Amino acid sequence: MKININKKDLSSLAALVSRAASIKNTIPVLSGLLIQAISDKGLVMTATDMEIGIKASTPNVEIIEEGSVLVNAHYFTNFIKLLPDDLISIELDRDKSKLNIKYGRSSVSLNIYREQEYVDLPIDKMEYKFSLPQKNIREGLRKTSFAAAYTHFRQVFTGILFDIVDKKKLKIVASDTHRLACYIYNINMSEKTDLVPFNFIIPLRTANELLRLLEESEEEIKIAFNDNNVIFYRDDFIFLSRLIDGNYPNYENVVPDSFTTTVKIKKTMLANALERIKVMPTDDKMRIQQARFVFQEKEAVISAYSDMMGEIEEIIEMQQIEGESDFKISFNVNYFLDIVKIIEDECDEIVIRMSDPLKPVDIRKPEDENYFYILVPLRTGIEKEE
Amino acid sequence: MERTIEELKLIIRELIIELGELKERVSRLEFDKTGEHDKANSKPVLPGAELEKEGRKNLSEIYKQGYHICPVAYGQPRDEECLFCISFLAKE
Repeated sequence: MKININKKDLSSLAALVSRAASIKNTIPVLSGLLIQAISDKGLVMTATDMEIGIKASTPNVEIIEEGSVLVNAHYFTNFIKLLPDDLISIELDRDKSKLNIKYGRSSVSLNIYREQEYVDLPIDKMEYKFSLPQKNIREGLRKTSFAAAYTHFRQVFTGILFDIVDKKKLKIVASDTHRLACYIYNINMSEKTDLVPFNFIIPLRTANELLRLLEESEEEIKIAFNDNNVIFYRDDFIFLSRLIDGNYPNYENVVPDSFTTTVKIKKTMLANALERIKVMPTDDKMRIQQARFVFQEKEAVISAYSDMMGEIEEIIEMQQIEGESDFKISFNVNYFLDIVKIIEDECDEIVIRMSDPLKPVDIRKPEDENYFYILVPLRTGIEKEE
Repeated sequence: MERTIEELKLIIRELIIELGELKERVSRLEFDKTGEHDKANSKPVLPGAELEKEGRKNLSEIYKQGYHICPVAYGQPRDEECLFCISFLAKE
C-alpha cells in the first residue's frame, strides 16, 4: 500500500473512525484501525470494538498502490493530529511489518497488527428499512438522550427507544424512570415502503456517537438491520451498533392526560433561578438537590435550603396561570434544569402542566405537540398526602 | 451472564409473589385456629372495592418504604421517585 494524502483529510477521517476502536487492551486487534487504499473507493478506514463499528472513506487521496494495513487506532489518530498541514506519504513495508509515514523531511515507522485477525463489520446481510433526515435524528437524540440512565439494572433504560408507531409517526423516547423525554417526528415517506410498526433500542453511547456523526442537514440517512445490529449509513460512512435486547415498558402509561393547573413562565428567569438554587449544596440527609415551587396567581416562589449553607428563595413573575393556584410541588433541580436548557434557544416561555403535587408533570414549549418531558415530583412530606 | 441475571430476577419475583400467597394462607389458618373465624363470620365480607383500596394502600406503603411496585422493577429498592410506580399507583 502506498498513498499520498493531505493531513486534514487523513486526520479528520481517522478521528471519525477511531472512536469505534476499543480503548481496552484485552483483545489488541479491537483497538486497531483498518486502513484500506482501494482505487474506486479511495481511502477507507474501519474500526470496531464489537459494540459499535464505523467504516468511512474519503476520495481525496492519491493511491499509488492499493493495499491495506491494521494499526493502533488511538496512537495513529493522535499522532496524525499533531502533524503539520501538509502532504503526507504513507507506505507499507510488508517485509519489516512497518507503516512508514513521511511528513516533510521527517518520518515515523509504526508497528502494525496482524490484519488476518481483523473481523470486518457484519454488514453483508443488512436489510434496509427506512430513511430519515439527519437533522431530525440529531434533534430527536439531542432532546431525549439526556434523560436515559447511565447505569440501570433494566438495561433498556440505558438506551433510547425508536418507536415506529405507524407509517407516519416515529417516537424517540428515553427515560431513567425519574423523567421521560419524548420526541415525535412525522415521517414524510418519499418512497413507497412496507414499513410496519416496530421498535428498537440503541445504547446511549450509540446515540452520543450519532450526534457527532450526523449533520444538521435535510439529507437523509438510511437505516438497516441485521441480527441484533442497527446500521445507519450514508455514501461516505457506515455506522453499526448492537441493539439493546429487551422490551421497553409501556411509556404511554406514564404520560399524564389531565391537568388541574397550567402555568406559563419566562424560561430565562426560571433557568437563572434554578442555576442559583443548583449551587446550594446537598446535605447528608437530603442527597437530592431539590427545589420547592409554589405557583401563585401572579408569581412563582422557588425555594431550597441546606442545613450547612442556608436558604434561598427566588421569586419569578408568572406569565400565566390557569386552574388551581397556590400549587405546591417539589422537583429535583437538575432534572428540571435539564429540560429548561434543552429548549433554551427555541422559546421564551415554558409551559408546566400539573394535576397533583405527587403526580408526574408535563413540561414543554408553548403549543408544541411534538416534544414533551414528563417529570416526577419529589415527595418531601410538605405536600398533601394521598 | 445478563440473561442469567434476568432469569434470576424473574425467579426472585415469582418467589416474592409465592411468599405473599403463603403469608396469606398462614394468616388465614391462624385466623381459623384462634376461633376468630366465628366472630368474623358475623362481619360482612369485604366488597371488591374495599379490597382494591386495601391493596392500593399496601402498594403505596411498600413504595413509601423505598421499593419499586411497578411491573418494570417490582421489589427492587429505589433511591428516587419512579415515574412507572407513580403511574401504576394512579392507575390502580
